[in-house]
Amino acid sequence: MALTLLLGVMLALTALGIPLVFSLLGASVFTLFIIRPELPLTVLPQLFIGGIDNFVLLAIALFFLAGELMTASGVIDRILTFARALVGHMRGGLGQVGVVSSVVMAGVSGSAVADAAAVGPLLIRSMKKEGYPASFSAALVETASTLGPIIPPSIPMIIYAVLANVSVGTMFIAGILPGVLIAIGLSTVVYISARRMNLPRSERVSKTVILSETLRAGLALLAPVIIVGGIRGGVFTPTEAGAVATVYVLLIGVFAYRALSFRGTLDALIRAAHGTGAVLVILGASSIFAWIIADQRIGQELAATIRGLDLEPWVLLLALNVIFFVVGMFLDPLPALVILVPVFLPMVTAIGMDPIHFGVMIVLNLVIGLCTPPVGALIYLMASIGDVSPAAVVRASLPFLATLIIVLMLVTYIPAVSLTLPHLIGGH
Amino acid sequence: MLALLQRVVDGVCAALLAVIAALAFYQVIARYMLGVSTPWGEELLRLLFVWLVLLGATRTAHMRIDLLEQAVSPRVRQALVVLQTLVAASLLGFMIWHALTLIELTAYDRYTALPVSVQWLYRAMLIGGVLWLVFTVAGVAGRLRGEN
Repeated sequence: MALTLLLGVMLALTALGIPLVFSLLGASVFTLFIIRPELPLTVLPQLFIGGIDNFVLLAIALFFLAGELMTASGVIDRILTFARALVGHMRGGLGQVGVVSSVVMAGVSGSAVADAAAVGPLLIRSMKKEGYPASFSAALVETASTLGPIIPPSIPMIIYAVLANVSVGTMFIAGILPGVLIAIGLSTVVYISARRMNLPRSERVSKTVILSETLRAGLALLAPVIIVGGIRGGVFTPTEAGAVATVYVLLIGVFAYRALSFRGTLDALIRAAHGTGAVLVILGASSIFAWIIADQRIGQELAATIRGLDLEPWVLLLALNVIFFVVGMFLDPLPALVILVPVFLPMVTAIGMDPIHFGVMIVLNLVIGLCTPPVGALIYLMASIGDVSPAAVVRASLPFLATLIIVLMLVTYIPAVSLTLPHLIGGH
Repeated sequence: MLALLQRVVDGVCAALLAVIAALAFYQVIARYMLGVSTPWGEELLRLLFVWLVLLGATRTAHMRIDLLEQAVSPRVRQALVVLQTLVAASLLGFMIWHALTLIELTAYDRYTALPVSVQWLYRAMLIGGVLWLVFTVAGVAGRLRGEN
């Protein structure tokens, strides 16, 4: 009853084009009026602020800032030159450059949309110049950007860790292997398409150039090592890692690459503040939503119902993935996480699934939703950067999407994919 | 006037985020190099962060699904825009109103290590909410003309 009300009102408001933060808020307020009319309404701003007022979440603002500073300091140029020296000579080399630079970018930023906006314009311009189809280029950057929230640091992983009450560091480490699998998969698709579409290759560069480009990009390549190493080694918390990453990127932008101006820094701060605001108010609004779900024990009831059905675990996992996928077609990963995790986490822990494993699965599933119509933020972003129609991006992205879905299935059915690294180095 | 206010809010957001990054970095340095712990640091960071979020939110484009708007005639679209604004504005008004009550209720609550009142936490909702309301309503004219 409460869940039907919540979801019904939310869907109705969202369909009318009301921003998600207000449809979540509206649905929660309406539902509370009906089912808990005696409740003092001051709980609303209290829960809203309570959902934001969390030390771990500060890391989101800092990783947003580190990513923006990366873009503003021209580090992307260095990464692209480095990747080009490394893999540019292969057939479809610029495509491989796209995969490698997305991996490197993902190691500093934690947001897919920020990565796509950073890597996209430069890479797609060069790809078009060398004769790659615009839709192929846009589709590649679109799907490779999903690495941003899979390879640490990751904003959705931080949010999941807070919702599921698990360690952010463990979630970060659990994302590494799935991220590597995605990179290998996308790279394979590029390799095959390159042959089929007869894509160009760039000139092979000498070993000395590779070495010097690696050294020049080295400072940027070190950032992810500092972030993950620092958190894992217990040197700093994820929030402090965000601060260290920010200061590190700032320093190399100003002193090593001499490309970061005062204006550029200011713009990066403002953009990061806007991005943080957009993400975190949704979290604030959803914490009222999540409070109702907990208050009405919806997750537990659902868990009991499902246990009564006595489904095979693999059927249940498949069903969950289908549900998440459909939700992800319409909702961004963050609001979807806040709604889905409290509903489904009790159920999966009841069947003995590790919350870390579940976290990687749901994050990956919802992030793929950024590339699926009708509502996929990355589709429209890449269509506008690549100057092609959204439909053309979707068509060209099908083989890449298939790869992402294969990795999702591996993550779902082979727990070791997400749990091996946390067991080995994460102390999980 | 409105543009000036928006630039001021952006400036404050940038300053808040810069202070947050600097303070969080200082905490790492203080702990490892100077061996000092800063118990007020975490509370201050969280307070500044809530302000950053609620001010930043007033100046950003919010995720929404505009499939319906694109499918209907301009006349219906205008009606939709008015309806969307009304829903957003009344929810903001509602939050502002209850934040005011909450500020009264927390008059005697103080942070543990930070020498300020917890009222400052809920004032973020009040100030952010009012600015958000102003920018939302001020944006309607443009959206009715078909800008996004």
